[in-house]
Amino acid sequence: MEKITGEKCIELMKEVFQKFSAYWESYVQDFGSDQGLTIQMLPFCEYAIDVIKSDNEVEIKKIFDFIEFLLGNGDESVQNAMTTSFLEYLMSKDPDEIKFSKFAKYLGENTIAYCKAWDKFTGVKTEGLWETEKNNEVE
Amino acid sequence: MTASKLAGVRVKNPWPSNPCFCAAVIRASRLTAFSTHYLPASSTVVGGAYNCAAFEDYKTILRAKMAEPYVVDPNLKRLVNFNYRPNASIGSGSTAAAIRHELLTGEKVFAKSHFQKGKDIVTSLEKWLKNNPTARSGDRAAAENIIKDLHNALGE
Repeated sequence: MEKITGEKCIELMKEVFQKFSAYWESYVQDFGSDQGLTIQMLPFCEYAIDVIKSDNEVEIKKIFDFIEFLLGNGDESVQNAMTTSFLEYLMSKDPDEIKFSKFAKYLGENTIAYCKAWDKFTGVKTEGLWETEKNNEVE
Repeated sequence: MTASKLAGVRVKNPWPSNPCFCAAVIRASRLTAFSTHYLPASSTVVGGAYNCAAFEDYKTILRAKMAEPYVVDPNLKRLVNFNYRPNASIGSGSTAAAIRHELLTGEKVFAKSHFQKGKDIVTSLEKWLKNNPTARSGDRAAAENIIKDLHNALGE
């Protein structure tokens, strides 16, 4: 399978998450469409945060399944953007804006591995992340 | 003296022998090694040029330690937010701090580098500055300082 490029990644986001299109349009109005892929993750971060706040479990699962899919099938730029932008942004919003522990159970293997590596790197212990293995075992 | 000796850190040296990278490593190591800026003893006679250079160095150190700045413009706020992780113990928790750490130690997070993110943030902030010439002076200063800090970390 051909690796997913940055351009294709945004198209896929719009296709898979229909409500994301509005966030993308608003972002393009504010910042233009010529920014780097890591910055283009901003509207998807904002979309994901709103979905998490709305407690829409089906949509939350869908988002993190999609992230896991991109971490496995995206090209280097996509994987870099998903990790250094999307995941790091979500983690920076815990615990003030969103609770990581609320959606930790939906994270895929690669997603958890990156989040843990980022926690170790920055010396922060995100609540809910380090208990995921234990939770999975119980389930 | 090598960058690793300056910083007192063992460098794995995964980077190509690119002069820009080397310059960035040296800068990063200085920022890490000399946590407080020092000036010559008061008895030393120094010229204005030295003072200017020392002051610039001092500002570079302060920028590297700068916490997430308070900004008012909503779009700038979104970009600034993107650049920081609260409560991080690697420098100030900024992307520039992560880049410096990657350069100094060769350690990346899960094989992902923050270089591209740093470059993209610089481009976005420069565009914001260009499009907002009459923005609040504090906002413009915050954007300019983040850009300078990232340029310093990226070795540009």
